[in-house]
Amino acid sequence: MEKSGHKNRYAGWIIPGIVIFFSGCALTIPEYPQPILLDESSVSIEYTYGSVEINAPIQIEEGQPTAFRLTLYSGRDTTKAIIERILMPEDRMAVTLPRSLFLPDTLIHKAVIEPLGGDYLTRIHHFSYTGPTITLPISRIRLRPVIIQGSIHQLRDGSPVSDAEVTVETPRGQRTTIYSDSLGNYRYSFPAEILKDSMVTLSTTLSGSYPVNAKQVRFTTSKNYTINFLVGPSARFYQLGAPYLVLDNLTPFRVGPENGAKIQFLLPKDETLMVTTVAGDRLKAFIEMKSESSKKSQFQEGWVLSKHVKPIDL
Amino acid sequence: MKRLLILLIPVSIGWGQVNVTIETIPPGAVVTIDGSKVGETPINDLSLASGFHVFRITLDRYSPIRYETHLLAAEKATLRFRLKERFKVKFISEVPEYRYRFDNKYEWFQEKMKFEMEAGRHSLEIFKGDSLIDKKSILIDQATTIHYQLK
Repeated sequence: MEKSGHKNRYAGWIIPGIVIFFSGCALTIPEYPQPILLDESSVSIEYTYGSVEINAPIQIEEGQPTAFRLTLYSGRDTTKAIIERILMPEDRMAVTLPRSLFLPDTLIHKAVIEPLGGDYLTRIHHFSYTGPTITLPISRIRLRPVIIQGSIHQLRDGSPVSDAEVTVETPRGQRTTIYSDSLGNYRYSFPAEILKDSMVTLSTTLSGSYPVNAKQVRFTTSKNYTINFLVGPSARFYQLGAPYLVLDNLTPFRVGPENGAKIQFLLPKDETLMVTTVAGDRLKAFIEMKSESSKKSQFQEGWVLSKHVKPIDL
Repeated sequence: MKRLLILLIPVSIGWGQVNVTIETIPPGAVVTIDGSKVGETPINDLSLASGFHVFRITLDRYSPIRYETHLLAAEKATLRFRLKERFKVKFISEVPEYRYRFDNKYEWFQEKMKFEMEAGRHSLEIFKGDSLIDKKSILIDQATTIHYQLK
């Protein structure tokens, strides 16, 4: 009895236990497999920059600038200057700037050095950040040069004369010879201080009996001068006959065809003749003479031996 | 030549190196940079090359932070991270057979669910089928239970 009573007492505990166990399982709350994040990370970053010293050494080679304007442009915006400073000649040509102005390192920055108090060439240097001290190449200060340029053309048809000799003579007597290019152009530049309030003579010559074609240039405030030359025989001269070229220096140009005829001129090599008549081995021809003062042409008739000349194609 | 090299080596080492300080709120977070553990915050005088780096900040009970940045070639950089705590949150809905979604991203269907949620303001959306029927803003700043019932 007791035993069976015992059994009944256990049975009374087992059944509620099972019920509680299963109901507990049913009440277990599942867990979400991942955390619920807002993805709003709160981060701040604060940079502290050092400084950069930029040295811009200068060397005055011409003139005496009264001051220098040093302008720096960052590679991030090459249109806006990051600093513009006027420095006196006795000042140290250097500026100290925050490092942040030159970020990132790969950019190419620009420094402009402009000498003041005269007509000087502006010096421009490009640089990148290489460390806390940047030294630019030496800026050689020179006056902006005077440029004389022009062209040399044939008077007869306007065609360019290549390799024509142009002699430039300064008031101090310095002579420089330059040559025209294949298009007949020449160009010459001088340091400005030499030519201030002065005059320069340019001259060019062609072979033959043509006078030196000289022109003078008086310098004003301008730094660019264009001087053109028209050289050689005139177009009117070419209408007189067939063109020939003298082969030998000191070729006699006689008044008549006979051997003993009076010699008017001794023609230089490369002189141009316009032949009108052929009589055996003698040719009747015109030469052109130009007066240096009046610049007018004169045509002179005479005779030459055919062995001293050759026909030319124009 | 040797002298030139001796001069150039320290200069080249100095270029592009940034002195980095890392601080977190709260402190004690583990910092990993580009996959390498560098220590626990606060971290001072850490020399890092300028350029791209990935920072990972972890601390128990806080949401981890992954931060990618191009470190500028400054003299010094101070990075400050504010970590967000995570709380245990129970969700109990009194409306069955609905679909729920937190922050437009985390979905579930059960009426009861446990979450680990980052502190802050979250959005809760309730859908019946594909139709949004309710939307709530919930501020989590401690362990809590959200009882949802339809208005």
